[in-house]
Amino acid sequence: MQGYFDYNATTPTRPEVIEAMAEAMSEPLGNPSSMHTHGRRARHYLDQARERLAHLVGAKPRQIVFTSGATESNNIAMRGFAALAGERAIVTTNIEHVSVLATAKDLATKGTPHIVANVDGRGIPDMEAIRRATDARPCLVVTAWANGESGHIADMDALTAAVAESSMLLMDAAQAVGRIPTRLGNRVDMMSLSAHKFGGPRGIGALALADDVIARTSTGGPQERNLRPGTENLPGIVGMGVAAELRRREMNGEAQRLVRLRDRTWQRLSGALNDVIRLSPENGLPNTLTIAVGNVGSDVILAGLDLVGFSVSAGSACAAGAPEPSHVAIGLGVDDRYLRNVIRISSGCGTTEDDTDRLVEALTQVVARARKAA
Amino acid sequence: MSSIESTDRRRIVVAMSGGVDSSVAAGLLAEQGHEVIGISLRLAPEPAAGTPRSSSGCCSVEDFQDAARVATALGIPHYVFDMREEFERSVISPFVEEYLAGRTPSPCILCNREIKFSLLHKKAFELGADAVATGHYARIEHDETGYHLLRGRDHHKDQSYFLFEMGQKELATTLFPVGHMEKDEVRRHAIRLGLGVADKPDSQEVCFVSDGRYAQFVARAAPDRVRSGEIRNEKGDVLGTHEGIHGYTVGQRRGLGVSAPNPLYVSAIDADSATVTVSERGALAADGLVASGVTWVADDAPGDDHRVLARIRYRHEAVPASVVETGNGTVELRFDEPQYAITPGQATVFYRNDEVVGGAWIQRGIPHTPHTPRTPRAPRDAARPTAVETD
Repeated sequence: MQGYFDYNATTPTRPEVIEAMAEAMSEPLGNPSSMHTHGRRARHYLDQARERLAHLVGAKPRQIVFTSGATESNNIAMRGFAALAGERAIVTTNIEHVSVLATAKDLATKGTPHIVANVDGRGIPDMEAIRRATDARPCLVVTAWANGESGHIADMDALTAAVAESSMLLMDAAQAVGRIPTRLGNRVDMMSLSAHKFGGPRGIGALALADDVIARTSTGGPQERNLRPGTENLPGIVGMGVAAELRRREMNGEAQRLVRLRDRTWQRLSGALNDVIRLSPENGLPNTLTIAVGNVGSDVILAGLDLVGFSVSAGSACAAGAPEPSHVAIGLGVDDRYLRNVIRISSGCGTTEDDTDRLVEALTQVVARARKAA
Repeated sequence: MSSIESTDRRRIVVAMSGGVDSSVAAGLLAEQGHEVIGISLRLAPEPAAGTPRSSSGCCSVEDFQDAARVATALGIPHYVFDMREEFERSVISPFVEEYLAGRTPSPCILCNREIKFSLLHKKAFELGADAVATGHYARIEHDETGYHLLRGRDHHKDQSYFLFEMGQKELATTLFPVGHMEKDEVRRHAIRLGLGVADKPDSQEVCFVSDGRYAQFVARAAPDRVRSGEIRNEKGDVLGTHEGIHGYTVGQRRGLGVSAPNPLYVSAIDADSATVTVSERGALAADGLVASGVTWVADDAPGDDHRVLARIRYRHEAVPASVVETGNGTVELRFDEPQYAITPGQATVFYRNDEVVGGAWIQRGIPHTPHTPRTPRAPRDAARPTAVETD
């Protein structure tokens, strides 16, 4: 997709994925739960996809629970943790995805306290606060493996050291899986992910977790270890499996390529524009460059770029799609004068050097015109 | 003469509310071959929990979706810009303050001045547009003396009253594509263009008060500053009590909760003592008024000619009057015939025929003095509650 720089919102579906899904949908497959040939054939597809995804995230196949995406995974994990017996709490940072913060807020009204460990300007949460909270009672600590708005990557050593033994850690890995190495285990008790962030289809994702760590909060059939009952979304699962396999093979090379593209883009932008700051760190997500341009609003830049064929994103958008000051930028302590000017440029496998050079040129013109008018 | 030549293609931002007027405005400009960019403004905060959502107001997600659908049908780009912070500061907050000061605000005028013809213009220019169009029922004409603001052709829909603070600079970069049409014609265009919003009802209420209950809105916004007080007659006798002066408007008759042999009307509101004064109809007559913050569409005062047709609120037929500047942006307006219920906080707008020459914000009425030769005759609705009127 030419001009597309919003891979953190969603990625184009890989052609290999589309092909595999079309094949799975055109075959006369039964229900994987059925004990006949058609059912067994479906079961085979399901198992294969589960193995592929497990391979990507360093889990055993039986540790993969298919869901509709990371939002649902976060809900299943957090609500399932809160439903366990005993006094418990949820710990998050202040810059999590809305599916984490809204779920924690909701659970707080239902009797499971929500403890917030604020991040500093480098996106690092208050580890002492996490230590204190998890020492006091069993907690579920929930944080992003990589923040989709700012590109900050969690310091896993510091984080796992801070979470007390009796507590659990849920990593929201929607923006990390397939982009940087992510593994279940080694104190990571659960992991949420979405296929459409790494070239798979929308509406399918997974929660990776060991046995018996959370309670069931939905009722129905025995599918997905009873944690996510209901007939499986087989085409989606097949597509996610193929995307996972592709990504596992390509990830290292692709990450290096995207880091080069990202840093080249920043170098050119910061050379061409006055008064521009970089919010995403150098050791952050390879594909994510988040910046803020002095005196030009995200709204004007987004619209101005869209008019010439480039899709970027502001930090955050309301239900109506209007860019608004993001809680992530506020949490990171971004200066007030840049809060409404945040632009996120996120790339992916379709992005070329030519594309980024053209984007830099267009962005420079959009900003220059806006500043001249003002 | 029209201020737009249809032959040269321009980049024009259209403020799209999702309603029929701004949708048709966008459609007509696109049809003329202009590069049209639709922008919807997010202005009102989310309704407070537990208050009903109005489906006919604007700024709901549904309205933005309507605007987006219209834009798709027209093949034009559409964006939503978040201006809640500025709207809160320059429209909602003054609205609350005015009520607490015993005055009756006119928020649409502020929104036009601070948001649509200021902030949106700025954003539009930053995007490389050279004009902003809206669905207002008003006309802009241009000749050798400058730009002129005129009433909309459809006098029932005319919104020029709410636009009186526009000056030459704003008029030069603004278009009102439906201002020369009747509402029916606009609806026919919506059908012809296949926009799907032809039957949408007009918005009637202040967009940020979703249930139309202004007094409750003020009380929610400033609970600590609402205080009860007394309702007195002109002699000072206490006739009753009230729960806050923000529930009253000069000229209001209904809902006073006091009984008297003759109908009583609110004639004055004193914020300091929280006193609402009620009087019989005759006491509401005024020979003129004092208003401040005067602006002239031509940017300069109209010289020695003091004769105007003045409106003292939106639903008021313009009446002959003389206006004189008395310094510091203050004007004194003298009616040829006494007028009823001069409401502080409302705007008085001056016309010559169909043209808006200027306007100012009403501070107080000049009471009718009995030796004026003619006895005032009040039209039946002269003293009805004005509450808040919207464009």
